Amino acid sequence: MSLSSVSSAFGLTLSDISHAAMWIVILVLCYGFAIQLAKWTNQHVLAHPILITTTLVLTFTQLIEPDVQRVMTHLHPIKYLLGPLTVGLALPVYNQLPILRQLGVKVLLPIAVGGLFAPLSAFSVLYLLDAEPAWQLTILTKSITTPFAMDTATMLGGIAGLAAVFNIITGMIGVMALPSVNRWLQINDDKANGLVLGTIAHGIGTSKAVLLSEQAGAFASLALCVNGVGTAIVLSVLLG
Amino acid sequence: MLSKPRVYTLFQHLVQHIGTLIVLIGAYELGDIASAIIPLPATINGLFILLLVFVVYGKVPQFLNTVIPVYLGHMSMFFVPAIMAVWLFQQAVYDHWLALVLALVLTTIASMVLVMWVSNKLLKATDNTSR
Repeated sequence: MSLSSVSSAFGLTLSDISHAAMWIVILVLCYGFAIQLAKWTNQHVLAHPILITTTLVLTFTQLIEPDVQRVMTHLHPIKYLLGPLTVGLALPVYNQLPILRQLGVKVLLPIAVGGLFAPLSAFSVLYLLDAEPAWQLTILTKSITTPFAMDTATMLGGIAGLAAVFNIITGMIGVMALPSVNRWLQINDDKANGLVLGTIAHGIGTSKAVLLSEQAGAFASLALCVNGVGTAIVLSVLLG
Repeated sequence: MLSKPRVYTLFQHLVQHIGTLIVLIGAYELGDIASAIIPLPATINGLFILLLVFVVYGKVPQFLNTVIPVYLGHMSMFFVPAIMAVWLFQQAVYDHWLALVLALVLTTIASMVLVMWVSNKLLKATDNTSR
């Protein structure tokens, strides 16, 4: 049996497969460069690999095949794998269970307050400024970890790609604004910083918290997990 | 004693990765099936299925403990195909830029202030008692 007959059995042409392979290689190379750049700039928030990789791949798209939608189809295998990888977050959630048992409501309450206030305030702004309904629904997911945000946005009738963008911008603002918030409230405590970064700035905030201290990192991971799962559940049940 | 040959180690890594992928894809697909009954995204259902396995088993199997952090560390790359969709919304982003700046910048900072204040109030008490 030849390769072409195998591929046509799946409704794919050889050209589909070679295009997919080419774009996956381009994506991996761009990502490789992006993580190097992040290292060189000492993990600067503006050199976040997601931002750099997306910009580079979009640039290549404009050079090679200007139809972005087609390139997204070629990259479908990568998009699919995001789902199973997200399930892997069960590991950090499991590792945070002891802190959760120990401190209980003292950590749950701040996470819940942020988990409710962040999406509702953003939603209200877009609602008052009369943005499209799909955008209003999408921005509800801005503070939860990106894969959950994309999934939940889709479930609510929002736009997954936009959810990811809102999400990443929110994470970056969170990291950049932390020193000012510390100064303004005159609070600079590892646990509070961790909870703020994890609850509001999700994964991007958590990677910053890990650099602050081990304790900040642990509290941020906890907040990321609890807020991610909690908000996704609440939004899906209420609006899904 | 002879050290293990390099090929053996490589093979071991390969088996660990394949095993992890099977577990993660399996849990995700089960989560997807469960979505028909439980109205949550497949990833959340899958996460709970895997978490339940860890809790019942009492620990995380060694191979998952080794491989999952590697995958999570490179998750950024897997977001890219979906984020590319923003290219298709360029015009809409230009049209709504003020609303977006307000909704993203102001509310994010306001939320941070709120969470910082509440955390500090609640956790200050713990500071004196623990560690």
